[in-house]
Amino acid sequence: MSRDIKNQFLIFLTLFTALCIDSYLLLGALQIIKPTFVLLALIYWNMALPDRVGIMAALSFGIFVDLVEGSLLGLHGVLFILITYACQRFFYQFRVSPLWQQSFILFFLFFFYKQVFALDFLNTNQDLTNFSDSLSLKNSFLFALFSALIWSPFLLVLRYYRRRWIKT
Amino acid sequence: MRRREHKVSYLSSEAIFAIPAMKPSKVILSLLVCSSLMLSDVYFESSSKIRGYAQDLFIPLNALVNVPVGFLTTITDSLRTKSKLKLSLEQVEEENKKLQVINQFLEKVSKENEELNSLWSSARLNFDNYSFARKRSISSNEFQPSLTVDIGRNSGAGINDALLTQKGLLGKVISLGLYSAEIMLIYDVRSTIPVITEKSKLHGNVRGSGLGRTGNIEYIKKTASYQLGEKVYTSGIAGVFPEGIFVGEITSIDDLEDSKFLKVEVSFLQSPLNQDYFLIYKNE
Repeated sequence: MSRDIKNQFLIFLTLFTALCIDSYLLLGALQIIKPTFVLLALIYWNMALPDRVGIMAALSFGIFVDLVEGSLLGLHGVLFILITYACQRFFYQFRVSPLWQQSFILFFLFFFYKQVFALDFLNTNQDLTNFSDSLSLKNSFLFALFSALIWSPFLLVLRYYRRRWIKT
Repeated sequence: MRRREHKVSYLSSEAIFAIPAMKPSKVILSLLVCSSLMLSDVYFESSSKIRGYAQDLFIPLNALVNVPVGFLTTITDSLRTKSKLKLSLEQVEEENKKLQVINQFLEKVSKENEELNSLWSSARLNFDNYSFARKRSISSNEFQPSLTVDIGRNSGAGINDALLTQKGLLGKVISLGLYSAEIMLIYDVRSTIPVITEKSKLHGNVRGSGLGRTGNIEYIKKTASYQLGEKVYTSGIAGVFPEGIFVGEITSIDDLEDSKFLKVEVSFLQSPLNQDYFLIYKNE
């Protein structure tokens, strides 16, 4: 197996593992506020190896997540593509920032990411364009907080994995 | 942060400044693909035809996740001391006794109401109409929470069949695969259920507002005489849900000045979060 294919396989393995964790673990009350590990992994790989993970990975994993989560088909795709683009556009600045700064930036990113799901794309309610309420804001805040807090250990684990297994 | 971590070369062995930026044209093209998928889903519900089969493809992933979980459970069980096991056995025996007493009481009650019982049996206890479903996953989208359940290959479940818990209605099947079914929960903002109230016998439609939120009975005239605490059951109108299944309880009635209708909130007692097994009621 050539090195490139092996590297690609190892990167996609982490994304699939993250998808498994997202879909089939912690199915209790934490479900709404638990971090989206696929997105965290996608951000990490875009930051660490931007030439190995691109739009196609973001698009395909976005559609996978849509199918697993039952959300509007293409919605996660759009969000993942935009976040991937932003990460690749600013990765020079982002990857050299201290971890707490990265977590701080991601907190806002994840907050707005969660709020997108409150938009009424299907026009189910004629009086409202979004369903955002205090509970939704609280859930988005907790989701963003947990995601930001988990970013540092998650990055360290993936960094170790990359240095140990992925030879560039 | 240590000084050396600022060095780009420490993060990657490649000359990263040589990596070209992502082409905006590619991004725009991908966004267009996603937008067309979204539009086709909004107008033609295209995804509901493939979601069930897609869930079937994810069964191996689920099995993969369950391996370490099962392994951990086995280890935890084997590490439990004998005294703890004895204690839990005693508790289970006591629980069993309680259930036996309750069963005896229920038998007595059912004998006293034989006529009613036979009617009930003919109307509701047609066991062929029910099949078991096991929870596989639940989405983290609080406004459109979808539940994926495992069903048997020959379960006979169909689109729009009702999903029930011991407390009442929980949702309906919206997409089917060979071994999986996707359920739209009553909490979903897309879900509307024709209902009738227990005491005032008023009809209406309950719409979900998201997970952890109360539902609303829509378009109710201000003269309607709902009562607080009244139970709400499916009315059977439209033929999607069978009649008489518990949906929720009225928890608040507000007459808002700036609205033409009453705001009637219904709290759902059944939740998919703390339950693993469900019943699918096949629509006749």
